Amino acid sequence: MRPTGSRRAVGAAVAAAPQSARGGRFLGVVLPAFRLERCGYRAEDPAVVVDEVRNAVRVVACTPGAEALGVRVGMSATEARALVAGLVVEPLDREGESEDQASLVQALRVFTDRVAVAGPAEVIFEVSGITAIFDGEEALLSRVRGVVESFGHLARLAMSGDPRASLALARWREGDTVVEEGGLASACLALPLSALRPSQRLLDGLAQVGIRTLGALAALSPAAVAGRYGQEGVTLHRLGRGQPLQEGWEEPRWDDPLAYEVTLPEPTEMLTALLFVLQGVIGQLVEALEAREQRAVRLTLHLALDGEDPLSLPVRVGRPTRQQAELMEAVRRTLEGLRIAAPVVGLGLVLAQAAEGTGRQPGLLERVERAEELPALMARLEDALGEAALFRARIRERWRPETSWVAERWGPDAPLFSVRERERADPVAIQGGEWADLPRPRPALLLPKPQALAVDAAGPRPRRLSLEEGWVQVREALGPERLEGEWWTESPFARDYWEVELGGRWAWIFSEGDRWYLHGWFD
Amino acid sequence: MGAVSLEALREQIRALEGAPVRGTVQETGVPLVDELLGGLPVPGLVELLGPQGSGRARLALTVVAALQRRGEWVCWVDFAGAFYPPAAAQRGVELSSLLVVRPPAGRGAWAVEQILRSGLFSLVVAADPPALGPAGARWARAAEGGMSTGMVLRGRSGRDLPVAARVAFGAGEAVVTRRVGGQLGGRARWHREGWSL
Repeated sequence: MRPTGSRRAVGAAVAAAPQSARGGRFLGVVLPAFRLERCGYRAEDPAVVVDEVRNAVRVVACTPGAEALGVRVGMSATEARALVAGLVVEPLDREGESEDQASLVQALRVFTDRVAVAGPAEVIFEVSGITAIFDGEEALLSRVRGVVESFGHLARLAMSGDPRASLALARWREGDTVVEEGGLASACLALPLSALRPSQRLLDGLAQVGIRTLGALAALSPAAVAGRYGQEGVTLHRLGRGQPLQEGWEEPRWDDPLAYEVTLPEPTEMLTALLFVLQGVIGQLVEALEAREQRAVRLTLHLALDGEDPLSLPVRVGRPTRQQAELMEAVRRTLEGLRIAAPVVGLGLVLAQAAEGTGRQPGLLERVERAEELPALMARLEDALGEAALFRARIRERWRPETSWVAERWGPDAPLFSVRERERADPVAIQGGEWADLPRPRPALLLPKPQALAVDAAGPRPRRLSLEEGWVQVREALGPERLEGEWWTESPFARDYWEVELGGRWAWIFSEGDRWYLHGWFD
Repeated sequence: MGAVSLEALREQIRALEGAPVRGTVQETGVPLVDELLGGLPVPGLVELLGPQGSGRARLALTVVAALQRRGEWVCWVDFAGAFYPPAAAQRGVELSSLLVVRPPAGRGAWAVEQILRSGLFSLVVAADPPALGPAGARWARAAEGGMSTGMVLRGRSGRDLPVAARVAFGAGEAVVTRRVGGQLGGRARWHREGWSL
């Protein structure tokens, strides 16, 4: 009987294909004093951030307070100091800025995943379709402002139907700006061209003829703009006339995680059906990876089950890749042999970890009989068995046999993962007895724990052992080999080991006090 | 001119490189394996039968060391958790290049299959697996697909493992009950220090 029940959510985020700039709504957020606020300065403090630009130390950011005193971005630090007595100069901390910006962006993801960093202290959102959730655009702006201000930053926000215009309006106007649909031209009439950050060549060319605002540029004839200022001029001209950008604008790299969700037309338990669906999903993932110039390292596969809790399966690819066949193979192997409690009603695939780069070109003469590369195999085995299940051994100088080796991560350049103790030989351990000076063989099989053993002994020498099959005569006994040590610990040991032959089988046993133990087999 | 298949070209490349070619045997330098068994089957499975302490692991470790000296990778899947590295080192095994896998209960058969199929390891030793059931045939297919050799150490044989060669250890002897190529094998005396043919 087929299981029934309500469908449960997969739990993976849905990421639709990225929308183009046309027909959307975009929110630009500019933090005019971010670079100094993150250093603890207030807007009114006379402070600047400097960096080396064209072999000179120049101002790259300044507080409104410094700006009010005549400091400008691009000015040399020397000039700025001369202009403002008591000016505080901070060197640029790129790493710190990047981290702080990432924290802020992460906090802003509560509104939407389609957030991109547009520049230092500038963020652009694509908010098409979500403003209704927040009771309108004004309310959304207010909420976003609240988050930004909770981080201690001054913010300027602008929303319009064009991302470039939104950012430019936020750079230019204080407070919140909402440009209604169809109102782009009038809103940008007085917008300084410099706020759009065009090329210096275009800016200088337009300034020579007295055109400094977008409205002034829009008043020119299209042919004249095209003839004198090229494609860049045409793009800004169209924006000034309220037309959405068609070309010449680079879509922001939305920093949202790549995640795809599919609801199956009907529940299925067939691997082939799931793989068929995943083929298309992975195709989309590959396209997105190519656009981002990234390779997949880890995926998470979510399975929504009919009436059961969803399953989340890690898929480790091994060597980073964006080859569809390799990703399909990794997913296929994850699903192969999987036991599920109910038919699958939905799938989700999330890119959990990516690596930058373009990938590896396989060599022409690579050994082709190797069906899989080592990193991929190791990744699959570790995922399935646990990392501690795969190791190489390293010998330690310890007399206690069971601690005389340690497991290390296996691989040509794998770091150690389990060695915590410092290596040292027992300073006072003794190997005594008849065989003290000879290198004694060790058993190929060592029981995980010494196993208590009933022994019939003549003095110290064993004569019979009680094994599973009953009492077994000892035909030959070599020993004793005394191993003892760790007197300074809570569990010192002093064992007399014997190699005993039991009708063609050789065992390793020891006595400690009046007890006997089976410890291994010379297999 | 007849068409040359891609697989045939690959086999030619393998032969030029000195790599094992499908359907051949690989000499190990270990007399018991080479003279009595006829070498290691490539691909294929070899079974070493006998109770613990009968000398199976010693033979396996000797083969491991021989292959490692030729630069081959070897994997030891330790189902019982009893593999003792110091003993392996005494037999000449290079521990730093031996992958040891101690699978959790119920996952060992799958792990052996994946490793055999990968083709990355010339020899995969499966020490004391539980009863295999259908996994035995899967191991054989995986070895075929990966051009690998598997060596299975266990107490009792069963119908669950199609093997190219079988050695039975017991009472101080190693008896080859099946030889690569199907011929009957011979016997060797087993004692603590080694074998004598």
